[in-house]
Amino acid sequence: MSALTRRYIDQVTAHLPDGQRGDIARELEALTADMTEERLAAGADAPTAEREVLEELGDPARLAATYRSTPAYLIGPELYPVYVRALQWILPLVLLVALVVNIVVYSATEPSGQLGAMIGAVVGPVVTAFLVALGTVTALFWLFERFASSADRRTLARDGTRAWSVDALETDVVQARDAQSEAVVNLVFVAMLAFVPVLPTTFLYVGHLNGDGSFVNQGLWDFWIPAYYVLLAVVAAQAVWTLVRRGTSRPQIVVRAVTDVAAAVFFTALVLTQEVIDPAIDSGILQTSGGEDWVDALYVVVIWLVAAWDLYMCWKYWRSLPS
Amino acid sequence: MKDELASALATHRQELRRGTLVAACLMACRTPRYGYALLEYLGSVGLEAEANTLYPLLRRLEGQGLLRAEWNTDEPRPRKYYSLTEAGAEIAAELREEWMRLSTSLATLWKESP
Repeated sequence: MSALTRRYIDQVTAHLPDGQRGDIARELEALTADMTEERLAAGADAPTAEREVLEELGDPARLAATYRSTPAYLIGPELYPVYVRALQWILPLVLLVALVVNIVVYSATEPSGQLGAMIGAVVGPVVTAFLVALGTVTALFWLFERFASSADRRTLARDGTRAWSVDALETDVVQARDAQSEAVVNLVFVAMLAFVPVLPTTFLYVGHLNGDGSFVNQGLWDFWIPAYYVLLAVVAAQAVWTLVRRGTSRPQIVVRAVTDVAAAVFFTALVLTQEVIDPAIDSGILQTSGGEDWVDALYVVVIWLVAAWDLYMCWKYWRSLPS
Repeated sequence: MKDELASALATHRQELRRGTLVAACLMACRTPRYGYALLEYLGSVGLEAEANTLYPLLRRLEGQGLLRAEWNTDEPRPRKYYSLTEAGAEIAAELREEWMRLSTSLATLWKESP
């Protein structure tokens, strides 16, 4: 046997468990000898015959993998649905926790926070957390795929995914799922909107215009801002109601539609009769550009577009409920 | 489009043949044979297989207890001979039955759904 074939066989067996190396090496020696002999008999010269044989057997790593019968994929079809489901649960959770923790840490350690600096300080760790979570879950599934017994794999494949039945196709189940996801999104929005009246201008680099005050005219605390919080509380209560009931109902849809219209009227009155933006910023930006009326009209259009969209969603839910 | 069809055909043909290789090996090993002789024998009856597929498969079948392997050192070149075990013979018979059923089903489909 030539040095070339010796090296080839060594490379194959290097990837194999100790106990199998000798036996497979001997068998491959016999095989390469037989294959070479056949080519020599057909008239090929020795170096060409040897090269052809090794090329036919192919990449030593691949041949070794075939002997080990290890899967040539990261996560196989049996466990893939469980893997996707694990990612669907874990990644949003990790993102949310990383985001909250990093924002809290930033706010607690920076005496005067600014949006740009906060984004800069938060994005890096959040992306890292996301990638580490993705990598860890993938690595765990990779290990499980290769080292768990086939019975354990079947058990995980069965228990790890949502048990499916034809009932899952019923419209009220689908509708309840949509309503619940929307309720969660609404709660997040409400939490963000709750900060708007107290958001300091330093956060968006315009602190110089009103001496680090807030964007919203603090004179509105007499009635308008408390009323705004009442509206948010009503929206949050509806979202919680949906989550507790695990779906929506016709009375709930009516309440939601009424809230939509009430909110739209409230914001229209607010924008048209009150100075919403802190007067110092107002005089600094809007009045110099002379666009105040135009901006108010834009606000009103946006308010009613949002209301119309939500009424449309109400109508959609109304129709999807079983009569 | 023609290339795509050719590639689809190659994939389906490979899938079909891969499914028959285990049954073919078991049937052929009713007579003890070493790997390369088996490869040539399969080729001679029209079942082309590649060494890098067949050799690992033989080891797997040995691991499953369907084939028994013995080194024959009497010849100048030592060779590992594979022969059918009792369990292997049972499986071979079952697979043959299954193949006959499939063949009948396909024949019926071909006849009844022109």
